[in-house]
Amino acid sequence: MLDVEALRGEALRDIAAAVDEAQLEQARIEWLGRKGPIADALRGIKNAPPDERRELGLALNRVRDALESAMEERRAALKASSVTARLAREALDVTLPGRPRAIGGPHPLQLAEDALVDALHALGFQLADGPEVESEELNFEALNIPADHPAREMHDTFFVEGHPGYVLRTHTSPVQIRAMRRHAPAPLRVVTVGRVYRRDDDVTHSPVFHQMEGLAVGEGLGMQHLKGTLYGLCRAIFGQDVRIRLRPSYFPFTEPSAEVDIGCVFCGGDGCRICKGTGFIEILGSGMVHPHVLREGGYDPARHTGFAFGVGVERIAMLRYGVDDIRLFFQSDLRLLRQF
Amino acid sequence: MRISHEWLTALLGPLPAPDDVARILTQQGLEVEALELRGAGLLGAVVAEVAKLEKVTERLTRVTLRTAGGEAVCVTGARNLSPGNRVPYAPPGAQLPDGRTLEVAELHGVPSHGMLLSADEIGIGPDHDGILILPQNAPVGDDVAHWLGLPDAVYEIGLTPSFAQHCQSARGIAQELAAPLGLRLPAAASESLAPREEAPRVTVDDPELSPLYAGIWLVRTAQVETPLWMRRRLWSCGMRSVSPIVDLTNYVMLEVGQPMHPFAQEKIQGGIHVRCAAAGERLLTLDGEERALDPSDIVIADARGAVAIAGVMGSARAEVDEATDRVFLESALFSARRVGRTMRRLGLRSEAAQRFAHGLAADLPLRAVARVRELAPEVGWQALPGGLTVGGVAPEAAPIRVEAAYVRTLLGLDLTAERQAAALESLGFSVDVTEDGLRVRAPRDRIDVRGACDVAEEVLRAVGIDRVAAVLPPPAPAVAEPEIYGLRRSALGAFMALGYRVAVSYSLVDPELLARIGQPAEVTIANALSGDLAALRTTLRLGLLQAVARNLARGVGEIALCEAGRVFHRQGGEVLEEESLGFTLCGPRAPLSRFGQQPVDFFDLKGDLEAALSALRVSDVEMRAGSDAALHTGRQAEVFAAGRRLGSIGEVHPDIAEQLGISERVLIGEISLQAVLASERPLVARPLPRYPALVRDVALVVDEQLPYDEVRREVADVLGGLLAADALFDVFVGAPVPPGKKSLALRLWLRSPERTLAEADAEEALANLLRRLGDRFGAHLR
Repeated sequence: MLDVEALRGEALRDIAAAVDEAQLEQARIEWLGRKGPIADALRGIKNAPPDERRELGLALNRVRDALESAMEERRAALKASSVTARLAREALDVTLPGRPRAIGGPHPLQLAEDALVDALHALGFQLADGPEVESEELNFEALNIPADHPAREMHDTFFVEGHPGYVLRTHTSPVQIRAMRRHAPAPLRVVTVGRVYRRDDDVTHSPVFHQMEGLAVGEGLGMQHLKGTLYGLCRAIFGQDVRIRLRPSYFPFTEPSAEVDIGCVFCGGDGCRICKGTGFIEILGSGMVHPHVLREGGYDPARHTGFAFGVGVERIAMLRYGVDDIRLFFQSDLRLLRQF
Repeated sequence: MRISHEWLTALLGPLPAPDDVARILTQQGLEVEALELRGAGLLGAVVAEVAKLEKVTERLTRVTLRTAGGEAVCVTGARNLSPGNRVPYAPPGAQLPDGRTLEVAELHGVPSHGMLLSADEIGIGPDHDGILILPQNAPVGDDVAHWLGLPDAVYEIGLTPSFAQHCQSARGIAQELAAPLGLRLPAAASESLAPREEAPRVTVDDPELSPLYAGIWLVRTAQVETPLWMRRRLWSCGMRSVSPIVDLTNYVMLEVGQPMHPFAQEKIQGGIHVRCAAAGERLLTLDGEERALDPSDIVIADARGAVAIAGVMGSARAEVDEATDRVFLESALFSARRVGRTMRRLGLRSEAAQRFAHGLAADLPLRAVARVRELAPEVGWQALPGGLTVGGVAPEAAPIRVEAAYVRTLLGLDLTAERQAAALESLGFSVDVTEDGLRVRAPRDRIDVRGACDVAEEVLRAVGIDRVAAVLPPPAPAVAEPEIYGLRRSALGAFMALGYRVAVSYSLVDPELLARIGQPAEVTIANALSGDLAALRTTLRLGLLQAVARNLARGVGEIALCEAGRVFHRQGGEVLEEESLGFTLCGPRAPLSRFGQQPVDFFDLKGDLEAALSALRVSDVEMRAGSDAALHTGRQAEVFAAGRRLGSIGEVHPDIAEQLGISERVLIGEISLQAVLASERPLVARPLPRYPALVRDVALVVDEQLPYDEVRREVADVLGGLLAADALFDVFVGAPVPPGKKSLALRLWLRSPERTLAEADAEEALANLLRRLGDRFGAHLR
């Protein structure tokens, strides 16, 4: 008579003793295989006395189920411990430096330019463009700066060799005339940004620099709209809490004209070396478009008014990023660029 | 323009504190750029009288002083003292503006109790050679700072060109300050000059040169010093005290704005001639320089030739000196345009020239002589009655007609015509309010006010710019933006994503260096600042390579820079501006690390450009070997997209690199953004593939010299629509591949858009391919 309980005990010991998948498989073949003792015993049931057959069959099936589930448990346990072992083997010193990747980045002037243009886009202005080699007519005369006008002194001009009547534009304002001539008499909101040139070279002046300029023309535009636009622009660039001051000034192409100051970003308005103790720093020039300029642009000054404003991109970048020498912007020194 | 608080107070009466005055002036458009406190910190100095002078050594004098408390003795090196002089005396314990505290000192064995003070030591003027002699009415014992009204504020005002026309004078600034404070500036006298009998003949060649040429004669009546009050105002404006008659002339210029020129009468020969300079004429000016004159310059000449460049500077020949006791004082108008041009050409920015160049009121010369006549006795001179005038005072311009509604619209301020008129009147304008608006007459000094918009600005200044509200303008219809702007942003963005930093270089460059890198200047500057900024760039390469050199010189490695900007060419008579994109690599790609460091090579740059172009949706990119002399003969390519040339890439020729100071291998590329714009594919998604691809690897043996691109084009041609993708994953030269041959390992993804490919389809396609490659290139499978 087969001792079912002994068989079960011995098989369970074998299963428990298996240390890897292979041994476990070995045990499965040995105990549960077609030639194993359980299969043998099941085949031999027909030789047992009829009244024991049923009992024996049930007992053998219980053992087989028990062994199968023990085997499943053991398989899971073995798998778990082998993953753990692999992970342990593969541990790294996570404090070692990562694989270095060179990352790119923008130029501070580009950042300042994008901030200005984005702010004006949001205020409904659209980009316009013009050449850097510009006619004297558009750079000066059309903008109400005739020859011998004192304002021409403020624009020390580069002239183009062998191309009489052409200069390197001293400001982005000629784009105003170009945009007006293209779109007059439709209402206009344009912004332009680009390089300008002056015969000047020191810590605060560079012979090549960038300006951004906005222009609005239409019926019924007044100083209040200029002020609203400038407030929007200054808040976008210097934050919602920036203090803004307009004071009367002079530009040949606007009348009335106003210089725009913001509360000094370095001392918060208490007075410091940068703001010369005034608590304010000058950031842009603006005004109502001069009737002469409107006429040059093809608008009727009796019907249309407009406002314009211009800002030095370098100046904004210097204020926003604390760069104190304008020449640094043109040196492509990676020690500076990698900070942006 | 500099102006003292003391002077403004003398013109207007009591004023607010200097900080407030500075703020008000700035809000009026007269930007106070600096505020200086003169004589601040002078403590304990008193007025004393010189009682006795005794020589101690050749250089030192012992001075006995009468003070309020008795006597004091001090030693001085000054030589301008006489007994009876009232002087500023700083006894021991007194403090000076420079921070010094005085003590008893011993000089050559003589004890000195404190010191006597110069104008410089007090802080009111530049003179430090002599002791400041106070007027005889200064009471002995009075505090010097108190008696002189110290500290006195000096405002340094940055004048815009419009204000420079009427605010280069104490009265002009006072008028601007009077309006916001509600004060009145008393009117100034003027006079018409009755002709004098003995006057020399004055000829003005053309009224354009000088529409009004006037003058008076003055004679000296006493030998006196310029009074201290006048010298202090000259000093506060940054001028020196020269001699009484010159000081008077300068003082009146500073007060009313009219430059005048005193000629020593005995030095003028015959009549006075106002004319243009003759060609080749030269003049020795007062500053000792010999000036070559231009026929556009105006000169004042006598029988012997030019004695002054009109409105700019006089000559030594007619200069007033100590012996002069009779003077012809010229007070005239000269062409602003001509004086400005002369001033700029000669670099002679004299006080006079700067005023003439901005233009003066038509009647100002006559107001100035009236003031000179009034003040002359104070400096020991007397003006003879009458004078001379050639030309005349231009009549006042017609009133400016302004619609009140225009002012309201322009300023965004709801001001009635009456309110506008009141604002203008506070600035000295006279205004008639009529049915259809305002008729405005500007003060004569306001030659900058010509049109309705100028009047609107005056209204704005008078009511205050702060009263304008901030309102967003109504929107306008959209217009098309230039596409290049967005492309520039995305092109830089693509390179930034690949690890490049954005560079910004001068667009003015050295034409010699442009020539050296094989892209000579086409647009040059007629009046360049210097040789290295004398041409507009024809390429971005130069600026980028100079940036590489600068970074290497500073020990910065792993250089990856890109730049977008314009380059300038000439086409016929026109200047052509092209938007370009440059990029450069030098040194290892990544910083030193345990993962190793490879120096960049041609294929880094090529790969970057391919990636960037793909990001910019430029397809059908093809690169062909190039022949640019600035690049490595065997490592350069021209870049095309669908047959359109975009630009070039390559390794810089070692000779060129060396000339630019770069000793490492450096890669550079440049493409035209306009050409990219023309090659951009629209952003439309393609449908995803519906059938799986079959993958086949083939290793081909071909001639080593055969360019890969030819093989690739053949592969594409044979497989046509079946070729979904391809990759070259190995290039091998050496055994067992025969010498002169190379092995190319390609992986091909084959896919049909219509059905799942069978193995047999792939076999057939590959067989065709191998047959063609065999025929064309003698290629065979490895």
